[in-house]
Amino acid sequence: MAHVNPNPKPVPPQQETTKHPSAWVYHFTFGFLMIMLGVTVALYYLDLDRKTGITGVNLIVALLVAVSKATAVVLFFMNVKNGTRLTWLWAALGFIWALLMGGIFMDYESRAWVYHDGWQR
Amino acid sequence: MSLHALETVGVGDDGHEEHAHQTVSIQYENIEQQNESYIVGMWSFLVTEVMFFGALFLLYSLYRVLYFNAYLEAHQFLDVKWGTLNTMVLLVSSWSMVMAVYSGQKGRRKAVLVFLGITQICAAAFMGVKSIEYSKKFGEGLFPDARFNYAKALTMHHEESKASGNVHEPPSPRHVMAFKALEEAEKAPEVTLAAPTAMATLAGAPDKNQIKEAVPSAAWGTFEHEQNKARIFFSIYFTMTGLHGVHVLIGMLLMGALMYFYGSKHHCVEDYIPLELIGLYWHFVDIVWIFLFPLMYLIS
Repeated sequence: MAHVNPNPKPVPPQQETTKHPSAWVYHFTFGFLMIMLGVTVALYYLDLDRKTGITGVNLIVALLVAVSKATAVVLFFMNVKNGTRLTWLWAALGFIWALLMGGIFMDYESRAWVYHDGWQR
Repeated sequence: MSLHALETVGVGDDGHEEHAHQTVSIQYENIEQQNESYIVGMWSFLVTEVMFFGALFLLYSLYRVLYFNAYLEAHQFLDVKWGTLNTMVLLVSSWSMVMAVYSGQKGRRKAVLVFLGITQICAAAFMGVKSIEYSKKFGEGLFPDARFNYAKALTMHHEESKASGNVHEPPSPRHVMAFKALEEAEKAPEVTLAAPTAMATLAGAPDKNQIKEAVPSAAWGTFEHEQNKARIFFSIYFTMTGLHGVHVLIGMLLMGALMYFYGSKHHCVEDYIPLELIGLYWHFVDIVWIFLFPLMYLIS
């Protein structure tokens, strides 16, 4: 059975080691997110696929913008930038997992479709 | 003495401002270890959420590759203006949530309440816009149930676009033809339908073959095939945005609880960590929408 000291020694005040950025970092991040939103919508109306003649450019650029927005949210709003190594690991783990799921695509690419009787025929 | 009252430490590094106080529970060595445990615990939950939404994004991507033209055509029913507004609203809510957490860390209770209130208003606005969008889709016959009526929706959309002079991508002639053929079939006296509309019957009722024979158009078979691809798009759209909406509602409930506790000066919010954890959840909900918006609304 654990022994509980009825008169614990006073512990000196500790400084929290997880740093929190100043409010300006949050305002700048918000401004960046709004600008990126404008860029996403503008690119849609510009239609880069048609302008460049390369299919998929629009999607790639839109996803890059989305990734930059998500990164800003994770680093600053979710404070991973000042987080501990373990927090970094867990934050990265989720996105590594999402990337691994993309590997399932290989299965669809490498196998033939098996058609069943139904609406698809 | 409770387990949570063995050690109380002040946080902050400038020493000038008021800061929230945190209590170190008996099982932790210090406040740093305790905070890390809470935050990593929340991130573990968020990783499971990434898996959950990741599978749905995979589903979306797979069918987008297979049925790109159907996606391109079906996405025009989603209004970019509403989508942009909702994205803005969510970004504002993310900012106000992080400001609430910041205020919580500084021990400013009233500011926490104000920023949580702004976040709640944004969340409610998001759900309001979503309900407008959903009700429009229901009205157009785009909810993928037995009443799914893609031809009608395409024709209606085309007429609306013509009237407003904003024809982004007009429906293909075979869709309009199929819809007109169906209208004729419905008027024909020899066709007796059990269901209220012919399209509802086509969606799986036993009169399907009867309708097919009555429709005087060879395009019908092709249209039916295309319609089912669009049905997949809308199934994925309603599933993903619906589940995202459920997450927003859960976030609203959690923020409501936090507002109650902060308003009543409950001891459970003396430590800002509950606020920070719910903040992490809210930012994750925002990130999901950051990807949903271009993938659903901005297909070109």
